[in-house]
Amino acid sequence: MVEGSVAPGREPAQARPGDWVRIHLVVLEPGQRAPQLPEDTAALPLEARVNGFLQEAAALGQEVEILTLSGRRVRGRLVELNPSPAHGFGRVQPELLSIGPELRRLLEEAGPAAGRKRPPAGRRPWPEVEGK
Amino acid sequence: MSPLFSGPGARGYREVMARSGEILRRALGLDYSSFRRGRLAFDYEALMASPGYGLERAAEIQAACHVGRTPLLELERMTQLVRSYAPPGCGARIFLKDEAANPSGSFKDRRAALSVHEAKERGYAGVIAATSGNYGAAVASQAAMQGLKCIIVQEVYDSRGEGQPEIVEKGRRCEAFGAEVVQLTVGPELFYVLLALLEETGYFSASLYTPYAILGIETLGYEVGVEVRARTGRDPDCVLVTHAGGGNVTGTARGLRRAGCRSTRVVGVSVDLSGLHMASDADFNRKSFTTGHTGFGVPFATWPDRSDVPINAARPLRYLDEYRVVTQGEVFYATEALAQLEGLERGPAGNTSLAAALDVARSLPRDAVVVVQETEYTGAGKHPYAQLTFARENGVDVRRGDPEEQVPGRSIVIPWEPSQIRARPLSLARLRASYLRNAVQRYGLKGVSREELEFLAEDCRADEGFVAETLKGMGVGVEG
Repeated sequence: MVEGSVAPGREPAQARPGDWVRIHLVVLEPGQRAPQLPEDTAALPLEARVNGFLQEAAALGQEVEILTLSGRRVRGRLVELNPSPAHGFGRVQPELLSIGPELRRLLEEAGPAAGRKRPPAGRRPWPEVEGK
Repeated sequence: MSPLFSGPGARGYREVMARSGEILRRALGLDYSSFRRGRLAFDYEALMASPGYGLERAAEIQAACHVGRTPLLELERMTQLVRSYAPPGCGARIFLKDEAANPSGSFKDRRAALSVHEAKERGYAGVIAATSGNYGAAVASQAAMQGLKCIIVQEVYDSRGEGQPEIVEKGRRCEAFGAEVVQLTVGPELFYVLLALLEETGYFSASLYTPYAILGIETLGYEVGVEVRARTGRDPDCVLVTHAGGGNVTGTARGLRRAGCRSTRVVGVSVDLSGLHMASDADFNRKSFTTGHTGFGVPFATWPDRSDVPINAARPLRYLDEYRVVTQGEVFYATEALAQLEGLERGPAGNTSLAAALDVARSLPRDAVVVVQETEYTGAGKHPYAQLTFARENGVDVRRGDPEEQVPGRSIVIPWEPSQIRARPLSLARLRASYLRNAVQRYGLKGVSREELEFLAEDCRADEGFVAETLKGMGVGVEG
């Protein structure tokens, strides 16, 4: 996740009232958490990130108040201006792309008499490269 | 007090958890104690009847919210594919209920439509749900449509601030529908945050586990039964249901019964994530499926009342005829096959039961009918490319090979060919025994009455002899 990014054309790290921002806060310190947590989680705080409209001018890292989309006021540390989705479709996965041609070949080989005995064919990855 | 919550009253973990009973009574608008019959038993059918209306009215409410009546698609090329490796005369017809056609892109709209409708009818100003899945988007969408405020609480990030892409996408979608999204790091305190927000706002708890949320899925099971009969002249032989919290299995099975499908086998299917701890910060981002997996499927089958309601209306052991698991790699394979052979880009998580269909259909005769009862939308973060890219970044080995070699959290093995896919059965008898062990521990049972024995047998769908014998093995006798 990218924290601390700013809107283009704006002085870095300055946010104005009404800006759409993300805050970060600690909800529970390690000692306050639920019992029976696995060791790794028990040693960590429970953190929250909430988006909303900034209520005061502030710099990144400052404690601020926001107004959320449901109309609640929440306080926390200002960590991002214009928080934007950073997720995407990832990189192409050739291991998956070759499945289509392999399956089409299976269907062609099976033909209308699908279900007859035939040697296993699928283990020949597509494409079959000459001399490989 | 945490700055996440405002208003009067101490909202520390212990204070809020101690008030959970009264918070939920107000936020659910239902007095669950009226269904209790002694220390452990309860009247399940009375609970399920508590909405005060049935299937027909539920379908009307859903239709008014543009939910349900989704297309039932016959996957002819997938069927042809299965027949290419099935024994002669075998290879059942595969049908798919395209639930992605619902407004927010999954069958969860069916549950959300009724929950939000109920909240509105009762005069609540808003709804809250704690969910990292499609249900959040569904509640947000329905709240937008029905004019209520909405807060969704998600478990999204590990301690590095890395968000599971599938959950990040669902958060984006909730926000797109105008919901406030509270995004938490790993931990079961999602429930505590839910309670504190319910107390602060006075909103309705749109839990996945209320009778409304289950009735909402009964329309899906009913549609499957009626539509398959109209299309094929027979009842579905087998309905494959992706199983996590148990609502999908429970609602679908009840709907099939309402459609008169007495002989249809209801088969729950989960992705095998055995060995990964669901509350572990380190394990959190080592999985490529955030729902529909054994990390929810097994604990919710063996003890449904670990949920966010006093009595869970989703009770999968009452309805499962079989429970099977598939691997992450097999589901990615099935997802790719659906896109490349049928021209349908869906999932991946909703395709868990589709992967199982590629195995189950091969051992059934050609005139048999296998139904995969859901799809979900695909998109950024929820796409196989996004999930496999994320898996590699988190040190998971992704390769083609024999799915039997996969180790959840360490490797994802994508099969070489469809005939390698195996829907591996998990023993329901062992799950029932585990349910009984949980009941003994939860209630500190030393002995049970005849009535309690009957209830336990009903609740895990076992015969009383099995229950008595299993309890005896745990040192618990039957009195009277």
